[in-house]
Amino acid sequence: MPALTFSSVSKSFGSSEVISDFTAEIPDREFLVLLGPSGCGKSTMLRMIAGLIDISSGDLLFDGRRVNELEPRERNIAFVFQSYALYPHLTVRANIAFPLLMDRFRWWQHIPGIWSIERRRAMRLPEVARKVAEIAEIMELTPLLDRRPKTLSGGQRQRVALARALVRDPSIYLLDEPLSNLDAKLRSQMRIEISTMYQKVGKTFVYVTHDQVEAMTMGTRIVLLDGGIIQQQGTPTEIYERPANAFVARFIGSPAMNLIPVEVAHGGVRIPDAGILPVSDAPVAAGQSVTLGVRAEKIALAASGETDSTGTSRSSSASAPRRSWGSGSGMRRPRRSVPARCATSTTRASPVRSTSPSAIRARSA
Amino acid sequence: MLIVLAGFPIYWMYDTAITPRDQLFTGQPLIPDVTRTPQIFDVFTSGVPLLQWLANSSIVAFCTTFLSLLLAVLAGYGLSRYRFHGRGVVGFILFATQMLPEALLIVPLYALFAGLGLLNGLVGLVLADTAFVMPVAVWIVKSAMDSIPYEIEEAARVDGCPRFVILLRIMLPLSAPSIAAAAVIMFFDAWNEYLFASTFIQDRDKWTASVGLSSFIGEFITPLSTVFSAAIVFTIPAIVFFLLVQRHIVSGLTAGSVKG
Repeated sequence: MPALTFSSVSKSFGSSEVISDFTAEIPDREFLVLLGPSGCGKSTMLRMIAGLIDISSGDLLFDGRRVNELEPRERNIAFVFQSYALYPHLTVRANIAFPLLMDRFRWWQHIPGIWSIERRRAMRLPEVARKVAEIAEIMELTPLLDRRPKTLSGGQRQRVALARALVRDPSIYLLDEPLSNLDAKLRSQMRIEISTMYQKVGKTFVYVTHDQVEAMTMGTRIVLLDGGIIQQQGTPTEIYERPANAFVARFIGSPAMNLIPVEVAHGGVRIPDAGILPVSDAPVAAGQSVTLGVRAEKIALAASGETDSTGTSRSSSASAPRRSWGSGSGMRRPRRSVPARCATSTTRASPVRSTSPSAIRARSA
Repeated sequence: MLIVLAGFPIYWMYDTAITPRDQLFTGQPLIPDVTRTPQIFDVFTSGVPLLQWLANSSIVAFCTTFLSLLLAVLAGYGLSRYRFHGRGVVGFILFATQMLPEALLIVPLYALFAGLGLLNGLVGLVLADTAFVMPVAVWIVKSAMDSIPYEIEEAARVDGCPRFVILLRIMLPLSAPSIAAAAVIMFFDAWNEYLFASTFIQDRDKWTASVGLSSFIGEFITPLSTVFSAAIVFTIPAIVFFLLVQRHIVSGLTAGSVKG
């Protein structure tokens, strides 16, 4: 059950860099979600962890041991593919047992004919049969064991793929968008099943998805990627409440965070056509242009005249130009800063109140 | 129309085979007289070593098929899955061999085989046939393997499957329909091959059936009924081979492995 360490991991295909300088430390037994839009390099990252593609530069460590050159099977991982990747010519039983048979593979089984005999013998071994039966029971596949993948539905195939990954008791589980081919109902059901499985086995999970709902509900830690570069890493709450940059703010949350261009003024920020929203302790000099971010659910209507809002400043990360403010609790601000769709339901005169701390964030433009 | 065009020689062969010689040139009825049977047994008793020729043809065809498939599976897998410098060139050269007509190759091959002592033997014939038909098989196998999803192979690697076992136990069964189709093409090509066989083999008892068949055509007399009866015998093993293999030519074997 290793901790994962990425130290400046990069991957290039020819001259195009897909992952650049990926550095992260994932403690043991985390449910890590690699999140990002399509083509951001998250599947490539997962394949590098699995050892299916080479790492161009940098080191990948499992519990402090460098694994860059190890073959996939030497890394003791399980991989669930987006497209399931079942062996179509084998029955469900043989599919699930395949990793176990491979554990017993010896060189002389290369000889044609020997393999078939060996396979039949190994399938009958009590140890193999018991493991397959056990996992089939958990995944509710027992009645389907003698069928072939093509006769199964999408959800059943997904469960076979999971069962095949689980049967060998690996130390890291890698899942590549395993739910993206399922319908909405099955997806939420499988989401629960995977979460339960995570609780039960207590191993490190790395889960790739572009679906922020999956990321927010299942992950204990999220790494958000865009263009092969880490945008932010942290717990779901951190990423939701304190996005490190405008990309994260827009990507996470539905509806996306409102981003409003403002200008820093004395004692707050000036919202165009709406006056000054008080934010105390502004870390950026007055007169600079910044972006104000506010979550829709943090905005509430307030009685007319309640506009004495206060805010506290917060600097988000080490890098200097990144600045943000969180508002103080009970903060009020003029209504003109509400998103357009809210504004239509209020009168011009009624102000809007932001209800919780850290609801309002601003960033240097 | 195409079926008629393709089927007419078969009809002609059968019709000629069952018609007595004296009636052949007097204008035959369009509908064959099915009460007569081809004089197949006459062929065997007519003093020519037809069985020997058929055996030679079988040996050549089976060996060519086996050898070219063996090479084609390895080459096709390599071309399909490994990225190496000159991959495109190798593919092109394989195609380029098909641009040259057999007749053009026969002189240099003859010289080469003469030097190697491979003339007048079935081994040389098998090698020549294999060299000529293998590129087609490589392309068939390569495109079949191209269509197998990458993930299946990756899954096998994660499961701890060595490369060669992946080829043998995963890729091979999944491309079986195309390999069977390639086998039919290879077999028929080698079975029907005439030019190499007639040039390289001198001994009468080492002839293949196609050469033997043509030897019936004499300078002054051609026993048409016998020739066509022999031709029927000649087609039977090929048909049997096809029937044996064709049940493997079913599509949709990869169905169900990936998203459906």
